[in-house]
Amino acid sequence: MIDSTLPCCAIKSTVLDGPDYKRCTEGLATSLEANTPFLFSYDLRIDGDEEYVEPYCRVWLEDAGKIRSYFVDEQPDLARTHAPQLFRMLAHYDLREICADRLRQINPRARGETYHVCLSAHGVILTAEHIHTVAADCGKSAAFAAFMPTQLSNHAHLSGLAGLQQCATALLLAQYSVGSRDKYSAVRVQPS
Amino acid sequence: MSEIKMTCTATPDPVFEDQEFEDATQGLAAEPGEGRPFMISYDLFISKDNDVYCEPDVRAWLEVDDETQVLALGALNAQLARDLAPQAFELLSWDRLRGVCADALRKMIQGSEGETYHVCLSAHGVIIVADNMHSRAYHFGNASVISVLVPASLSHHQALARIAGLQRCVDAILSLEHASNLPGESSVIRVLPA
Repeated sequence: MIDSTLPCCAIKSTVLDGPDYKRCTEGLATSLEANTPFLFSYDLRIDGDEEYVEPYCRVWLEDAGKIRSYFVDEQPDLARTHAPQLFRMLAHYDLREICADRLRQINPRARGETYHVCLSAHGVILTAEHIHTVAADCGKSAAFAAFMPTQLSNHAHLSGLAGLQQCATALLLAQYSVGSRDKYSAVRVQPS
Repeated sequence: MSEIKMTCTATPDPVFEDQEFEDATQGLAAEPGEGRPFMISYDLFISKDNDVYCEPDVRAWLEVDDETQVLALGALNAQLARDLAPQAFELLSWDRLRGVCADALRKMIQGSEGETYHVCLSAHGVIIVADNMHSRAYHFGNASVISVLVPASLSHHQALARIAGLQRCVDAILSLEHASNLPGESSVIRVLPA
C-alpha cells in the first residue's frame, strides 16, 4: 500500500526567537478561526546560489468552512489591516535566507520551483506551490518543511507543533480545493 | 568624485494604460511639497545571468520641512504602511510594469550585475534610478544612472505636464543623494520629452 502522507520536518531556528518574527506575526490567529488570518505568505524561488522573492503576499484564513488565500493586492481592507506585518515579512532577510538554505536541502532540484513561505504564530512552513507534483517528481520530503523558535518550554514546543500541524493540513487542503489530484491526502509535522 | 550632468529622455510606454497605474498611484501627491507621499518604490536588481529580480523593500518618498525623506513601509512606520498598503501591494504585483522596467534596465546597463535600482512610481510615470547614482555614473557612464517612462497616448499639453512632474521627482531624488552622500555637489538631470 502506498503511504499517502507527506512528511514536514520542523527544525528549530534562532531567527524565529527575535522580535522581528513577532512583529511579522502580530495579529495572526493561533488556531483556525473563522475569518481571522492564520498565515501570511509570500513566494520564494531559488536559482543556484541566489534566492528570489516573488512579492505576491497572501493572507490565509478559513471562510465558510473552506481554507482560502487572498492576494492582498486584490483586498485593500486586508492589506491595510495587516500592512505593517506584511511589509516587515517581505524585508525579513534572515528569515528569507534560512528558508532558501532549507529549500536547497529539501529539494536540490528546486531550481526555478516556487515555494510559499508561510508565517504562522507557531513558526514557518515552506511548501511547494505545486505540492503533489513536487512530491511526485522530487520526493515526498521536498514538498514541506518547517521552522520553530528555539526558546520554548516543552509544553510550548508541543503546542507549537500542533499549531503547525493545523496550518500544514490547511495548506494541503487548500491545494485540493483548487483542483489538484489528491495523490497525497495528509501531511505530518514532526520534530527533527 | 563624479558629477552628473545629463539629459534623460522620457520614453512613452503603453503599460500605463493598465488599470494598475490608477490603482497604484491613487492618493499620491502630484508635487513633492504637498506633505504627502509623491512616490512609492521598490527595488530591482540584475542577476549574473542577466535576469531581473524584485527586492520588495517598499518605500514612500515625501518631502518634510523642505527635505526629501524616504521611509520604509513596515513596523517602524505603521500608519504610513497602512495608508499606502493597497497602492504598494498593487505596485508589487504589477507584473507588466516590472517586465517593462526590467527591459529598460537591460538597455541602461551592460556588463554589470548585482546593482540595485529603485523603481519609483509617481502620478506622472516611473523613474528607474540607481541606488548609488554618482558611483554608478563614475564607473559605468551617465546613461546607466536613470531612465524615465511616461504614459503613451497623451496630448502634447498632458505630456509636458507629466514631464514637468517627473522633473520635480528627479530633482527630489537628486537632492536626497546630495544630502546623504555629497554635500556641495551640484548634479543636474534634465528630463526631456521623447
